[in-house]
Amino acid sequence: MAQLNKHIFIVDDDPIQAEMISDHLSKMSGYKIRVFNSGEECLKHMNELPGIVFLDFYLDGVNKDAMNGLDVLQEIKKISPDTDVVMLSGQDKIDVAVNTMKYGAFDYIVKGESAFYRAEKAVFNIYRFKKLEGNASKYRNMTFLLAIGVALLIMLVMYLQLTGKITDMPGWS
Amino acid sequence: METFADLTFLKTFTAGDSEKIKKYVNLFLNGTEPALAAIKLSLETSDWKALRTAAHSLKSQTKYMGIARAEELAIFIEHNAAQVSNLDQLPEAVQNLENVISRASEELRSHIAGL
Repeated sequence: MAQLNKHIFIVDDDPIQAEMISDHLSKMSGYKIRVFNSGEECLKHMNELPGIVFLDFYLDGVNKDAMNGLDVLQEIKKISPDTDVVMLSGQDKIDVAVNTMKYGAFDYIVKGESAFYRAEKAVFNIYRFKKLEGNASKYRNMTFLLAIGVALLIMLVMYLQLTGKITDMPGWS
Repeated sequence: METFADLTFLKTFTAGDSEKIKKYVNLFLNGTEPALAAIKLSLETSDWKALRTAAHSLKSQTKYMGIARAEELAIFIEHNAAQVSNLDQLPEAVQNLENVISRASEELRSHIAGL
């Protein structure tokens, strides 16, 4: 099974929020975390193919002309469809959450005191999902190879019977 | 004496790590001046979308610093700027927000000086 990608990007124009999430996730061992204060900066580094991006919904709080979170989300998914994106927002609005899911976000976290624990949980869920996906793919491949093997065996037996190399198969009527 | 900032959450979050508390408080103190400037400018220019965004940005920061009154005011400003409603009350709310943040910032400065 392929190694899980433990490279995480955090994109937020609020430096306190970004720093706090980064510090909290850093407690989990083995993760490489990078913080960006704009979507544009994050997109410049997407060639690093992060496994997860935590992305603020409103990225134009400091710079009015900055790309917003939904636009950045769409660009990320275009560049790296396998990267899972978790949206962060100060608004607990169902239509905002649904909209982000529509564009391919894995999860939506409302900023606040519990956001850090929810971010940790999102990382855990994403990696558990990836592991299950990897196992399912492995079993699919094994089943496919087994089916080909059985088909080849049947064809070999039929060939041998047709060419008269075997005339009787014990147990076959 | 009335207090404006409550660092209970930050102390729990950092498990009492004074260096981390200082780091977050300094990030807040450095960020409030430009944030308030953005709020005042958008109010003066009646740019309600910019006012909503600027108030929204300040909201979570005030929450982590335990400045409940500033958080309430930021929510009020964000909501009314988004709805373009109660516009006559916005100048007073912005002034109150500035006053509360100024008092809270004094408290936070003296708190981290003692760490």
